[in-house]
Amino acid sequence: MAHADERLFLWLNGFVGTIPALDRVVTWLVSDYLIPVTLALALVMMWFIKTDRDTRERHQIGVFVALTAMALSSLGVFIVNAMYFRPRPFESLDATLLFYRPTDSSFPSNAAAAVFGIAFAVWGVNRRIGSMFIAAAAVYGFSRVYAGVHYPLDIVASALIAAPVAWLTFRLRDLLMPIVRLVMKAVRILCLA
Amino acid sequence: MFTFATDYYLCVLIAAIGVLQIAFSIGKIRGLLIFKSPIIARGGGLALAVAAFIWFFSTGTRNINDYEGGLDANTQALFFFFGAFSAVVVTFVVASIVNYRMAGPTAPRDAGLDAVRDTNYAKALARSLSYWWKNWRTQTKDYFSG
Repeated sequence: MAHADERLFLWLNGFVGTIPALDRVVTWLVSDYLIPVTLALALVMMWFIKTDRDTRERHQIGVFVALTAMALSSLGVFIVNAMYFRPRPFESLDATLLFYRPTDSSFPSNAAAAVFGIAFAVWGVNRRIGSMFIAAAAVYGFSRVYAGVHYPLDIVASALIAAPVAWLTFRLRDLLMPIVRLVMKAVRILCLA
Repeated sequence: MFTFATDYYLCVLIAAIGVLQIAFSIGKIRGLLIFKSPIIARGGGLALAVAAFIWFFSTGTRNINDYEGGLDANTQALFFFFGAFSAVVVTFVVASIVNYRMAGPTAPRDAGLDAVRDTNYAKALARSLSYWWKNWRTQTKDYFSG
């Protein structure tokens, strides 16, 4: 499996340099500041976008669930990283890197787990918006493989960690409600929710 | 010359102002719209958000490790919060000035965001806060119950 993972990585990363425009686009997509920030801004948008109060409140609770799922997905990755260290592909293979040289474990991808955590949680609240989030997370994951930062299996593992975490967070959202309700009441006094 | 963190803060601030205008336009929160026309609010908002990212990525190398001048995840989250919060404040101030004469029907005391649907934000906020100020005992009791 690891061998197939390396082969797939080398095949994808082998395209680097063939289409300079694509490399430039991927350099932006792989950044810590484009897709994660865009998704965070989309959560801000989700907070305000609905006209009827009940749907808006459901979306606002969804924002809290998404942030919790993101944090718990990162925690899941942290636990796996503590037990298993996989060197980055550019350290073990003849890869071309379009990113800086991260020093932490390659497996699973923390950045991808965070965005997949948000995306899957949003999908639980609103299928249409959630599908767009998942598509953005998938593009982010692909860009990290193409740019030489992760193996494909690192990204798949991140999604496999984030999906049940987001599902569980969504299912157990009632546990978050006492805090969420207090925050939302405070924000409502400021005419913001 | 701005630092990396300042550039990131400005990018989030400008992009968030644009995103808020799109959201308020779609959500029909007219009291917080800087431009009344939906086309200008949504188109201008999108243009502002896109321009912020283009400016950020075209004015320097942005793929930098945190120990080489980039931002670690926690600092990035913190600056995102500052940027988004500043955007909310800027939007409220500008929209309150632009919509100074806007005064729709008096909304119920717990209307929240709906109070700003047809009313200037400053007036809606003053109304909400003055109600809390006058009834803080019962309101605080309500706040921590159910």
